[in-house]
Amino acid sequence: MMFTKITIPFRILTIVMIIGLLGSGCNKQLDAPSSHLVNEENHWKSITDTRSALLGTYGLLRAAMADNNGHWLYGELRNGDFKATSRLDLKAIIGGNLNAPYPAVQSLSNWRRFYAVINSASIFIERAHEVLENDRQYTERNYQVDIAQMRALRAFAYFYMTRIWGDVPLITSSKDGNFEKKARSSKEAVLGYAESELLKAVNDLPFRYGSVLDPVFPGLYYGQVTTYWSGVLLTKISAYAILAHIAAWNEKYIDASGYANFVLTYYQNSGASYTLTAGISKIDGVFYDKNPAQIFGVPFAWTDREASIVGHIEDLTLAAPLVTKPVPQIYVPDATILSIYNEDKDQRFSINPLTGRAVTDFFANFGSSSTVFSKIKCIRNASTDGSLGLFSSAIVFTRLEEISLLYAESMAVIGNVGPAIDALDNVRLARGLSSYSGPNSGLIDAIFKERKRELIGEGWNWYDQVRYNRIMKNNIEFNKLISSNGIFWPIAEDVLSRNSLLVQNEFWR
Amino acid sequence: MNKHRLFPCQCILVSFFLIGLGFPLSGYGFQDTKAVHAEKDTKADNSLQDTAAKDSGIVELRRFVSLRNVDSLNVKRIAKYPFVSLQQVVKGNAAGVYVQETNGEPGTTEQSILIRGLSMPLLSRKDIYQVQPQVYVNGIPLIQDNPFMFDIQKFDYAPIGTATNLLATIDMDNIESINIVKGGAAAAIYGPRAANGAILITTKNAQAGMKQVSVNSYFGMAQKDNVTTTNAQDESAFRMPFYQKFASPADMDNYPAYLRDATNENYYGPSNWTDLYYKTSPVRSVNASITGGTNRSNFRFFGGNTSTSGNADDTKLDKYNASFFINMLPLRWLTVSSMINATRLERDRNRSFRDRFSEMQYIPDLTSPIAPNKIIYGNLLNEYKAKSFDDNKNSAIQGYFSLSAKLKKLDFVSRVGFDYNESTRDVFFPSTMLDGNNYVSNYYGYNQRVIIENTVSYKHTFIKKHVLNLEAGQSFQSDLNRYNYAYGYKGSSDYIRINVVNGNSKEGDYLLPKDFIVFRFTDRQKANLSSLFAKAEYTYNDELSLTAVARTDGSSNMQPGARWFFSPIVNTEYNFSKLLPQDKSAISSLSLTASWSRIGNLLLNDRFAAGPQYTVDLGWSANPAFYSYAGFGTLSRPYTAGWVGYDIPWSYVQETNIGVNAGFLNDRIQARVELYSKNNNRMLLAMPVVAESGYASAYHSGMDVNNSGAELMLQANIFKGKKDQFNWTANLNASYNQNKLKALPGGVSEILIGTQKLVVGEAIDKFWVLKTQGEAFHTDADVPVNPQTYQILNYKGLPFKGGDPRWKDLNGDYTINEKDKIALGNYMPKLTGNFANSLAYRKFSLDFNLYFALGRNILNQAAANRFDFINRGGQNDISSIDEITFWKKDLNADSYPVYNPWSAVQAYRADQDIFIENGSFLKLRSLSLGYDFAGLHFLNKDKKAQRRFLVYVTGTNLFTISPYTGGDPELVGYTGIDSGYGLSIPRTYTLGFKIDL
Repeated sequence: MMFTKITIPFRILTIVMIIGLLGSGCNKQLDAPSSHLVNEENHWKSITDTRSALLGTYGLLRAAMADNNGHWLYGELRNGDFKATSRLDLKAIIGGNLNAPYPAVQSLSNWRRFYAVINSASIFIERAHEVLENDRQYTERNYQVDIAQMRALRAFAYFYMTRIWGDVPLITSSKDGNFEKKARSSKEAVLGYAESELLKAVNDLPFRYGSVLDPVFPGLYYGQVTTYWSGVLLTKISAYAILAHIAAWNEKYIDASGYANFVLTYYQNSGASYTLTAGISKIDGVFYDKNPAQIFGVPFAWTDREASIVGHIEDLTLAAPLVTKPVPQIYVPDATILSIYNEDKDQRFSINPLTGRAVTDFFANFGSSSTVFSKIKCIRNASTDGSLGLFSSAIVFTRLEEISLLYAESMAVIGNVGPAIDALDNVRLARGLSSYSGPNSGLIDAIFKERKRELIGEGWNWYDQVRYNRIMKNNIEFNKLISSNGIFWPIAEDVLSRNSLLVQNEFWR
Repeated sequence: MNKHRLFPCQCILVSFFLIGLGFPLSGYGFQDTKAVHAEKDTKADNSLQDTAAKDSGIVELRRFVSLRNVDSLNVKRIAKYPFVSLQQVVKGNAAGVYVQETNGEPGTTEQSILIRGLSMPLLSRKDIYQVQPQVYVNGIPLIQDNPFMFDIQKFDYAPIGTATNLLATIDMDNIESINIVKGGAAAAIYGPRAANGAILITTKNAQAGMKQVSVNSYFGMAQKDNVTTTNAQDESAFRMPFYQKFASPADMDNYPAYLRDATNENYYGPSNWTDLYYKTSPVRSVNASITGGTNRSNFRFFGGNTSTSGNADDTKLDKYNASFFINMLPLRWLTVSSMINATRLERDRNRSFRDRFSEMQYIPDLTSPIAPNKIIYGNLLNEYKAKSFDDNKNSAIQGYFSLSAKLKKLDFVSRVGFDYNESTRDVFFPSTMLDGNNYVSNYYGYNQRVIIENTVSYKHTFIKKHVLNLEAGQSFQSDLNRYNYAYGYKGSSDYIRINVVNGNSKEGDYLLPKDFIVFRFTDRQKANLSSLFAKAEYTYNDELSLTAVARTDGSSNMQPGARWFFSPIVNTEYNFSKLLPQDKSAISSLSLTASWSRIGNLLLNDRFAAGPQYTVDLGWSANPAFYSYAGFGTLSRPYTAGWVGYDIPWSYVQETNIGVNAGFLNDRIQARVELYSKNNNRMLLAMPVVAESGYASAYHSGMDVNNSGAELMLQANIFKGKKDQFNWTANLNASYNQNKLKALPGGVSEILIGTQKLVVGEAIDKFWVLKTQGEAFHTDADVPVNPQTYQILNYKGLPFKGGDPRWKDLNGDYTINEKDKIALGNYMPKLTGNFANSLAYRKFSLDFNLYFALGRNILNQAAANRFDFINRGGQNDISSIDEITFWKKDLNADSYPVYNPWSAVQAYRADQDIFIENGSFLKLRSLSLGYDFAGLHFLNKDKKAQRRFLVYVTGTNLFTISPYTGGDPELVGYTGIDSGYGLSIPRTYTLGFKIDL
């Protein structure tokens, strides 16, 4: 038989194969590290880990402010100048029906995303020292700057939340992996905490990152130069701007004026500058990409390929002829525009007395039935082709003009009329208006009016109404809203159901 | 010596990829080498038999499978119908198996198989993947798509990529048997892979004997649907009453432009889009195989092509199959065998706006729907035809190489098997289809599995009556899922339809796109599974058998501290046949089985093994996959995905099973009843946590779900004639199933996840809806006021007004919210089954199947959407798309209450009882009539043994009886929601032949 001749070698071959296969299933093979994550063991080891964690916390803040275009839906719409075209949820917010059960409104009344920022910042503050011990590239100075940023960012998140919800639970450590219930703390306590944290941070924060000229942290920051970080990270100037707002919101206008004054005095150290009228509405102006004029903001920089659809005022306001969309989601009625910009020669918007036509770059198609708010229009790489609505404008929390007007407001409230008018005129003159010539009693009105003209569409309208009415106390209905905490948003049902210690704002019960 | 015999040296070479004679491998589903019995088409369904269908082959599964709880399909019968996917093949043909065919689009991935109920609540889009059974082809566990691609998707209607059903690769003419493994005891040998059950497919194999040639073919058509079309006049007539009753002047001003202008021919003219949308389309298939060789080396080759068209939207699936088997027995004690099975699938997808925009992740203005006019719709279709492409191609290949050695009483089997499938999707849409932007996307993904198995078995007979079988084995399985995906907008020209990158590695923008604005994603996931098992089987006198299996499985997706899971399984059978009276005319056979098993359940996701972790979490709801901040990748805790802690144990399935088999009247009536109670324990659930932690949820182990039920299989030879006389066999399978949530993690009794409530003690497939209590409030004054607090009845804080629905305030707190929802109806059917009849007379055969699913509900979201036109029209998001199918009459508006559609309470929200309907149905699913010409002398002049020449006609999906008022009650999402998007399962007629020479 031919077969038997090869029996022995074949039998050996077979047994070898079988044994080889048997041995193949060893335990070590069961380690298949995931490519989706970094585990506890491998994190907080090197300088790239702190960079990832630091920027990740900023990223969470961006997500919180961008989700559902929240920055504007919280700040701009309620009782504001914008009207919604067809979205019933936006109409509800504009009408102050913040408990309307629309998905976007419900989602906006959920504060989880802001607490993610806070938790992430707390973890950084608690864990970053491990990198300091492990990686000699990570310097003590760098560590301090990072910790200061995280403190400031956490404080900002608390300030942002307390403007929306009033009393919120104050959680100051990460409690990593523990899910404790905590009751709400008073807004005063929260603001106090935010202020103290920012004051701890300001000394360690540089004026600008990645610059050899910076007195606090000279040299490259995480290997990058200033242009890379401008408008991206919290600077000393950003921190003082936030401090000024916290104080103003807390009606501590003396403090507010001091903080604001710091910004107005030292802004040049950070590379910030005032913006010409054209620079406001230019497609590559102050809102575009990331730049030092954004005293604090979160970028969606085209240069970093981070443009998006949602997370921009453009998503709400732009329509034909700037983009393909025929009708915007929100618009400012022509009559409202005329009442806001009621002074001649306003470069932002005025009617040419000779032709009777509007001179403006803030609005397109004025006078037609479909006026489009076009102050901010950063389409992709500052393109004028609106066929693809990817937007690259940053969410700018504040810029120099805003702080200037806040300073004017503070000075006016504490009765320091001269500097108040100077600060107001600083903006008025830059926009082609004449110096303020009205009576001192009308100064606060004039300042808030100027804020409206200058800051429309930047998420200030509602908070300005609150501060204005807190100062003036002449609007009975609004006074009632303030005293009953109706100025705040309701807390989402979902949030309440997860924490039995929370109670709904009494206004929304 | 036989001329087919190969010389030894060739033998060794060839043996590495050729197949051995089947007998030692029969456990892998191989058929024996005996010649196939002459088949009897009319022979009844064999599901009552323990082993695989005797009718369809001689498969013996004895080596690995406990004999009970394995249902065999009547493959011969099913092979006549033009089914393209395994799901369609299995549907209705086995008790306890529920198939959801949510879409009739040929080859779509949106089909599911659930064996013995739903083992976990379907809370996310990924969950359906977690509950699917494992499919084996000739012992190779097929790898399926991993749902991880949903992580980067804004819309989850379909997964990115081809979304082609990987179980559409089979060709029924190449299949010898399909067995469904239910119950833990049967699945013991397959381990955690089969925790949701298993489906064993055995292809026809090489055989010794004369060359056998088979040719099979059918052709036919999918009949177009008849729908009543509408135009703007009908829509306006539908909306006007709402406007007249509730609209403010401003609302009136906002009356949609396309409805306002009655002179607009496009909208108010003829509504004839159906001419282009629905088409009677061809289905066809042809395949051939050749088998032959000696009993020491033999081969089989199979090749086939099937083309299946849907009747709507030009959908189509083309399938090409090729299989190659060669068996070698080079030595008496050694068998070498191998198989290669390759398939290619090409799919033409639907052209709905929703699917296109969700692929593009970009939604243009949707103010006006597409006009119902043929010319307008034709223009859009021309854009598809002339300027765009959407190519979806899948290729799959499975194979193994196996050695088996028989040394005295020891059997060794050693095997390396692999399954690899890859998919590519290339899409281009021109700028004319989207606001002047063109769009390109490319997807390439693959799934790869390698499995190495070794078993050794030993058989010992002590005294004549006592037989002991021992077996031990080991297996190691390594999986890899991977994809690359890029999409881009705004290329400079509609003539450049590919995403070109800079190929110069010296330049700074190397590999960066030259033209399009591109977003790129890539992901990979590895998973390994290692198993060891031992099995002892003791048989006494063919009356009693006891089987015990112990196995331990280690998975890389489990945490290092809890990597291995030990499972014991016991099974016993007692056959009473010897105790029965000799006279078999009353009770002819009786046996009892009982089993208990515990099997670990695999996780599909690799993120739990790491414990506490850091990940990229930069997204928000509209942009879930944002990847950088200021150009850098970031890391943070998984706030959105959910906290993962340590100490996550294996979840497992524990099942108790009792069965009775009985035959009556000389086995003319055979019955089997199975009772089971299946507990899926310690499952992971994303539990809600305090929002102040920043986390959306935290994963905790401890969700327990019980499925219990009864299965009945009944077969009766109603008329039993001799050969060529009239024969009639009826076969009924019916299964009852109910599920119950037994526990939630941490001993919680109730949680709310989104709008889905989970309550311990309740079923997991309930609809939670608001209960309507009478007519709408006529005026604001009708709304009740709490007499104590003077609080007006409100919806989540918003007071009701006139025109709003009167929802029941269950807890009497004058606030309607999630707490006021009642559990109403269930989306899993309580009773499913099939009633099959086969009739034969002489050479004629007729069979038909009545398929039914009873005790099931549907949430008619399509109807809710019709009424919710104000909200949807206002949103301009993906839910506000009106497809071309918007222009058909599919709603009886009079049967719903009239509410104010502008109301902020969203009066026509889908989560209320008026949209829950009875979704039970009975279908005449298939009918066939055949005539076997074999043996007719004029066809067979040379008297060669022609075994079969069957010519037949079939009809499928012939009629449906259902109280459901929407479309086909089968075309409903996995969670019972009818979105109206399911493409119809067409009525299909075929004429075919099957020739075995």
